[in-house]
Amino acid sequence: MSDKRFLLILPALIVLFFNSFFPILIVLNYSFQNPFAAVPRVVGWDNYIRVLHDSAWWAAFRRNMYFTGATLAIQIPLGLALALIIRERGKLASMVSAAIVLPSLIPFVSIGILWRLLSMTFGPIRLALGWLGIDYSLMTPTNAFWTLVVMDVWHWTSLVFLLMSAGLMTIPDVYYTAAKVDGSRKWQTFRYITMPGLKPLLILAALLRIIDSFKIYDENVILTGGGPGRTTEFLSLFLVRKILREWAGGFGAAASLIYLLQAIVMCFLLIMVLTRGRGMLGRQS
Amino acid sequence: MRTKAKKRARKILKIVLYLFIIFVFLFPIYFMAITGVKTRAEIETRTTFYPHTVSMHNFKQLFTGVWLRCIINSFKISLLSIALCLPLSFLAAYVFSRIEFTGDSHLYFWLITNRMAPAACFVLPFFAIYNNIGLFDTMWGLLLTYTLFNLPLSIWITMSFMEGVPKELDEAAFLDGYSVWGYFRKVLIPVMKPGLIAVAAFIWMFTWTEMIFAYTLTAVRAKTLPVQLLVTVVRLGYGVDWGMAAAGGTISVIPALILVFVVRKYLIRGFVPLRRI
Repeated sequence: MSDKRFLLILPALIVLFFNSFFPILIVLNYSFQNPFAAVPRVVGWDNYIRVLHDSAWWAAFRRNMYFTGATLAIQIPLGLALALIIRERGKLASMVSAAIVLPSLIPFVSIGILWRLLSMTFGPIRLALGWLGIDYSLMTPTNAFWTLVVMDVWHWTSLVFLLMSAGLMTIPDVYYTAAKVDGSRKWQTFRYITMPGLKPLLILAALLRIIDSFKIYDENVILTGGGPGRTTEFLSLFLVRKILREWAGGFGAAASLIYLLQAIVMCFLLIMVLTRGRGMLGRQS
Repeated sequence: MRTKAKKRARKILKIVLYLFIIFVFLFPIYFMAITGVKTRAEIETRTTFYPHTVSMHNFKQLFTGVWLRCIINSFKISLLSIALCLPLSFLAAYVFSRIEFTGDSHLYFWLITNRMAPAACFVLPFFAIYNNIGLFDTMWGLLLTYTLFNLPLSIWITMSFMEGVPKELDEAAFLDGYSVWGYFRKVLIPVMKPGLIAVAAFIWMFTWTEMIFAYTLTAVRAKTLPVQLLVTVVRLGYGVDWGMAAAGGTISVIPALILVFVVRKYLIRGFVPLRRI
């Protein structure tokens, strides 16, 4: 009877098959033709070649890379620092961590809106930077880019913080007591006890953040809309513009698949780190 | 004495730091909420940190016409998603966590890649499919597309909770003569109740938040709150009504304020596809 229970997975698989596998087949089919043209015809690998030679695609990719790098470089140390600071239990500490976590539950659109409000002409950011003698406006490429980075940091440091807090709890107190007895200095304790204990989770957090920031769309489209010009247009924005505005069916299909492939590779790395060779489902295989 | 003073100074420093962190994370939300009750003139002429003239105009607008319809749609789609995904993912998670079969880990990997894939990759095929089968701009079409992300997510969270239930419980129940369904109904579901509530909360959260598919696949009838927010903000050539956008944004944050207390303990499970850390 144990074998029949296997069938319980089918409803979920059927739904997912229709929504995931089938669409991919359609994109695959589109990517070898020019589907929205007056007379659709098969064009072979042309679409892929066009995407890979498209400077706009690579520009979007590069911008996305910079964005990911910048957010990671801030989020990881910041999340770690916050987790180290807020280690105790208590009412205030618990309130602080609730406040840190809150942004990760807010709809992405609203995150975009609230940062747009903050960075408006009559918003607090311009006022505060004005006190420092800096003239801020969202309409320059550098400012737009860094506002996006700050927004993402505000939004997702919570995730790094959560993972690090969980990681800190797994390090046995005995280690710290032993280090104290041995007269270890604070940074030594950090370097030789805390860091090694957190390492797997640090890698995990970094990978999750890389995957997510390559997907960014909602906040991007609301906060800057890819502008000024196209200087902050990341991959998703580029792709959606190509598909829904310019009706570039074949090109869009090929680009979708390349984009998807990148995500799958990242996901594969993530799983490797997560399971550490124990097999996908934690079984010995 | 000196150490005592030092200790107290450190404590005060810590409290100040805590308050600063709370301020950093809550101020933007506060600012959005108060922008919603400001008058348009106030928003567009100066920076104020509290509304000098309070106007409930924007919030009243939310409960009329297109805004109300979008909010109701968002509610509906979130509840429907829970109703569809929770049972399906419960069954699938049961199979993944209890039964070994050929290719199980490959299947699970495929599942996770779906959740991690950029939504933009699916815009083109979904648009093509749902236009052709007549589900464009309908609740049902949207519901189906959302399973792409919701199912993998809820399966992996459910699995992480199911791990906490010992497998011996299964065997004992079956020895006692329970059927599979009877075991689910009388034993497993009651045992996993808090976990399942958290899963429902996660499904709610991700459905309530979703924008890119809703933007692609709806026009009027099935439009959701995030899409309405988007079209309010992204209006080329017109003045954007920021007060309205702020009010809508504030409304969309309210479920998060409630959910943060439900799911906080389990939050990591919503982002990491693993059984336990």
